[in-house]
Amino acid sequence: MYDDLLSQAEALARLDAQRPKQANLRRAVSSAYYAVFHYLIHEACCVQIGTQHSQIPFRYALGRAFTHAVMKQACTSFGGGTLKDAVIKGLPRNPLGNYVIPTAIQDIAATFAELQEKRHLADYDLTERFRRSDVLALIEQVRNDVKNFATLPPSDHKKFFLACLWAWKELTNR
Amino acid sequence: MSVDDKALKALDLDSLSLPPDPRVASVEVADYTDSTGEPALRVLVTLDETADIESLPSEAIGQLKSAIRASLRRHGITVFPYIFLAKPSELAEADDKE
Repeated sequence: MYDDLLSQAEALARLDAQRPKQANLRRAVSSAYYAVFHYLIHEACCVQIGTQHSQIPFRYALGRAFTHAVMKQACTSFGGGTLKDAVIKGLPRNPLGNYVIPTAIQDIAATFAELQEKRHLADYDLTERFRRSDVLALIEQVRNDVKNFATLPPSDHKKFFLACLWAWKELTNR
Repeated sequence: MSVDDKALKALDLDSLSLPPDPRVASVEVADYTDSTGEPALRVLVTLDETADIESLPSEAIGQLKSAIRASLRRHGITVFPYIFLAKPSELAEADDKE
């Protein structure tokens, strides 16, 4: 799903050699957003359920529990580079007392938050004008961030981030 | 010093440490409220007209945006910056009808 959606986004963004149509750029932004949205849900469900082919029905069922709003709240914090004390209470810190978020996590989280906002503008705000440079850059960012996140070795940091995509609201309300 | 002033200082091109590619002509920042009602910043990065997004190394845009986010954090700004890129020619098209 992720690959197909990103390819679709790129194809739409490259249409219209001279002057891109806003409709195509808007749909490209939306497809790029859903590419990373489904990628992160897949990764989170693999951690929770497992990666076996026979476990697909359980991953798909769990995937329906993720919400755009909660994922954005979590990603805005992770992408911003700092998490509230209530969230990281008890977690390991560096000598300066900070919980250090790996760069690959920060990057994909920031891209997700930015893309969700732009997807919202693309779908609902006709006063917003999209530019091909921005859309192509976003698509390349998604590709690069997913590659870096996928090659980040398994760790508690990675699992914690993926769990925060569904548990964020409860974590921040404690 | 208001958030606006700190943001302007953080994104001053003369002191902002950006990667060499893509070349940046200007950076503008404005207060913004995102679609969920959260206060945020909207940052417009105007690229040099000659910048070729498609021939850049895949990590170049990420590095540019990371540098912007890092500078804002260093200046004590914690709201999320939504970063938009455009070339001057694309901005000039803004008021044209489709």
